[in-house]
Amino acid sequence: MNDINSHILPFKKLGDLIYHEGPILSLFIDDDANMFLYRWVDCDDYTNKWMISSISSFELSQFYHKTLSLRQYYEKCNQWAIVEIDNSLKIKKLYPLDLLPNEYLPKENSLYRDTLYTEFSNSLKAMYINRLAVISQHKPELYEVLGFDFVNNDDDGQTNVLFKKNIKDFLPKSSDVTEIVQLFRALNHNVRKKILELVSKNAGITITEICTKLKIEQSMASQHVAILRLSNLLISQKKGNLVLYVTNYKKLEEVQTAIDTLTDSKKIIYQ
Amino acid sequence: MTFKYQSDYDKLSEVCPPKHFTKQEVNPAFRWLFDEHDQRNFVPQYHRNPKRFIDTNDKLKCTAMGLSFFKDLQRAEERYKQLSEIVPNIGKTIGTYTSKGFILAGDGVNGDFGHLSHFTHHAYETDVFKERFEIVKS
Repeated sequence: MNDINSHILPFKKLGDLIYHEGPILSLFIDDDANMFLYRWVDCDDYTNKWMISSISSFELSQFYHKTLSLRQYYEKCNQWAIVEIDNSLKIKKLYPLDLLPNEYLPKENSLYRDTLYTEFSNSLKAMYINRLAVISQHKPELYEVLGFDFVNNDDDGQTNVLFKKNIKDFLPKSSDVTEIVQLFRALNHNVRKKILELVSKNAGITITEICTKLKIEQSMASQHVAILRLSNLLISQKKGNLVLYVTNYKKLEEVQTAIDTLTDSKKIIYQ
Repeated sequence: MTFKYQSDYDKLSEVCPPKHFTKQEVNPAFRWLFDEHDQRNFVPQYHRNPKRFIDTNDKLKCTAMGLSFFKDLQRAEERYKQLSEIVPNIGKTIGTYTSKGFILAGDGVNGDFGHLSHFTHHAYETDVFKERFEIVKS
């Protein structure tokens, strides 16, 4: 991970997502509210190795919605490092690896399971899915960091966590309405939706492969891919003679945020 | 009677073992082991591999100072499968063989049965388990 050039990680632990005889998968956050997953991956008699990777709120949401497995997340993740850390989160050793060993990757079947994950994780899931969760044991300040407001419910002594009501916080980073309209237009087509889905599952796919898999003419595929590319929903990368396409998840996240803004504002109005 | 790791429990800010833990017999009980004669088999994770506990609170440290067991073999295997899907090397830290044995009420105190019949046991003496638990599956 390029960002890890310091020997002290400025991260704060939000909680353990999987715990068995010790932390296995934990969620951390840095001072700029960027989230990171710490996953225990290996040990010998003297050391433990952890894989640290950045994860966006959108990826976490996909994970909790079971549309992204942990394996798929790591396969497209480009911000990761294998480190040995001590109890005070100081990096004792950074292992430079170009490719992840297979034994460090989760298996294909690594979609979210309620029974494997901790109560903390299931509370986060409820927040991501229902936008509303009841918490009793976890620190409310953690939810603030994640962008949730909380109000005390005196009836049962528990805390109801609600999404922030300040709509400003949910405006897309690119608040240009024209661009948002263009994004929604680009998404509002069955073929383009299929192309996006296909590319998200097959990062680095070519136009020929898109035509074959979706059984459509090359001219039609090129036209739709061009619209998605102009809207920045797809990114093209040249490799030799081939043009490879990958999903621009950052842009999709902006779309999701825009949708959330609209749907949440409705909920807030009717509360 | 004092627990085997009482001196470590005393250093924690939480009451350890928790007050609701009770003495009860569990027969059969299942636990993952490394190998038949491996010295780590009945050493709690916290003592076996303390460096794994990054940024961990005392409540969880207390849990890790106990021994993990399961009440149900099938559920233990299910838990192992789920963990190895996330971390294929999981056997290196919790063991790779399933063993079967029993816990007597006088051996220590047990926590509640959690997901997939897992429970934590804080023992007065752990050597007794070496004789009582046999590997049944790898």
